[in-house]
Amino acid sequence: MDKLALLILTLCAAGADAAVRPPAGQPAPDCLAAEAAAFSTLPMLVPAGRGDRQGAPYCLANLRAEAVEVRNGAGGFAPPASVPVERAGFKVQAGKVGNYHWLQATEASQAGVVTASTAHYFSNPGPAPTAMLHLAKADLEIVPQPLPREHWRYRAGETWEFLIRFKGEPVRDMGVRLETSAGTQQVFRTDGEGVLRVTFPADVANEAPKGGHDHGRGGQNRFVLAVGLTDQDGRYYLTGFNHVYGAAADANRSLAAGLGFLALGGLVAVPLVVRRKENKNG
Amino acid sequence: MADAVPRLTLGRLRLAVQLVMLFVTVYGGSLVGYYTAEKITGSLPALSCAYDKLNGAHCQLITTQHQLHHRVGEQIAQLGHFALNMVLPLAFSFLAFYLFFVVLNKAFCGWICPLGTVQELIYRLGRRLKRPFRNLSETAARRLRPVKWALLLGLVFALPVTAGLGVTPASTGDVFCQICPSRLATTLLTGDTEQIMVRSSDALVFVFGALANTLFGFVVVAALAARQPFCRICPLMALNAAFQRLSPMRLVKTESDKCEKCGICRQACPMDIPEIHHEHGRQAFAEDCTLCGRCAEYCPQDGVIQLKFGPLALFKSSRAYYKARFKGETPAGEAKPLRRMERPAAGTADA
Repeated sequence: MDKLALLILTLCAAGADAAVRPPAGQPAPDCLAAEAAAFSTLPMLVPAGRGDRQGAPYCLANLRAEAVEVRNGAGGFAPPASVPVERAGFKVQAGKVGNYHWLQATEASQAGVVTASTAHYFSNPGPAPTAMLHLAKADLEIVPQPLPREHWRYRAGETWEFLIRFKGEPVRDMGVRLETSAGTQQVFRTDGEGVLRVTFPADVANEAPKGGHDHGRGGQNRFVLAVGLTDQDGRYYLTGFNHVYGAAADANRSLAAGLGFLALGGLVAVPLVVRRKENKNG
Repeated sequence: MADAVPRLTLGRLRLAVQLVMLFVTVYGGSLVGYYTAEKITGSLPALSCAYDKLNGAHCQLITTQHQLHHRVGEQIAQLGHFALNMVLPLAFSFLAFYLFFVVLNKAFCGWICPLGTVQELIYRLGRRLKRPFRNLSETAARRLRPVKWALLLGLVFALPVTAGLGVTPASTGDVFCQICPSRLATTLLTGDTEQIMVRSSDALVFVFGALANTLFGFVVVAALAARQPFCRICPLMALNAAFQRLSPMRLVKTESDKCEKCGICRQACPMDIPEIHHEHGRQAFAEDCTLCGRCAEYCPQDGVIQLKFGPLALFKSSRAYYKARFKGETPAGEAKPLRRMERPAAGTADA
């Protein structure tokens, strides 16, 4: 079952890749470039540019959809906003409230369902995304548990958990594929609770972006996690969750140097804490 | 009858508040929830570090630097002029800061700041270890004051703006955070050694990291003998001082002809403030005051020094309290040995 699912996953991804390209003569230059730069044949929602506090552009890669569902924590259990896809791209707009946004595109056919999902953060007031993540949003889902907070991100060497759900139920002992923009490909397995523990590979270049202000975080790679399965009716499901991950916590950092300078500072202060001998003559 | 040491002194109350707030500002995220932790405020008037992954609030300094760098500096560079939307977020950030400030004023330094608490605990350890007591002379205390203003204006205000303008390297956009010892203290308290590693991605960043660790090492060791070594140059102290006259919470000292010969208040002051000894009225509430209240606890004159919120006196000095307090601890913080009390003979016959 598991090998079959992975085979289906790969075949579907290849099929989706062929189907997603916009019709000739109506290309969306940014999205064509984004898709050309896509590192995987798995379904993804690829950021197209940096975005700002008002909105962020995205491109669909390896699937086709007419609209993208956008949820944010402020919406509670309300239906998601539907953002039309134009020329293989769309722009998620920031509202006045709501910080964590869940973006999801679905391509359904008679043969099966392909879903791409990602999360986007806007610096707005808003509730925690716990309820939004808990809510069933697709048949087959990869649910981050939790999402990285505003000033954090996934990092190489760190292990993060994801829940794999099918129609609301955890999917146990299932292979899930990880592909990164650095070319790493790995398969992780869910445990008995349907929880997947992904340790991000140490394949991130240590260099910080040129001229950028990265708060010492170094470079970053993109990744996609994907899981596929076939239900009892023979219908296949393929779902991807893509995001970015950064360099390891100790990349470009030296603990030895840190401890050395710490000791230096302490040594400078030593005369203050040493009790001087009293001069008997005053 | 001898004055008994009161069970709940202002000092003990402050220590209890400090320990609770140390937990909140370092580990508070575990109380309020994973996502909510960084949403409580980004404008706390105390050094609660955003680099600490478990904390329950953020310090105003990182917000200020970030907004001056990305909102003001970069926008001026791109647009060539000021716009209201550049400064509005900064204004709201300071409004949030001031809303906190109205209640407690600079008591944030003396009662809530995690680095202040850590330094005090180290100083208490120094007393236990019989380390010498080092305080600043009046001249040195006054001469050191401009340093915190220079750090505030230079590192917190100017360099982030010039980084946004592209005049100075991008790594100067949050330069104070890069050298802040509270970043190292609070992250180490969570068992995170990442911040103590020195970054080597470029020479300037390495220099900032080296400075941070050297400063932190100095503060930790110096605090064994000297009270609050970093507070004296802390830019948050300067930022708090800029607003200190606007809050109803304040230190009040009335004139007394006995003050000049006494000066115990200055011995008790962890910031070695000369004005609390020599001045009265507004002048006594100096820019370095952290509203810790030790001067009021150790003033032997009734009602001369008070902690007040508006017209309400929260604590006022009294001779009886002073005598009792002195029995437990000297003004310099040396704990006095507890005296063994003999049990009364009656009532012990049950053995």
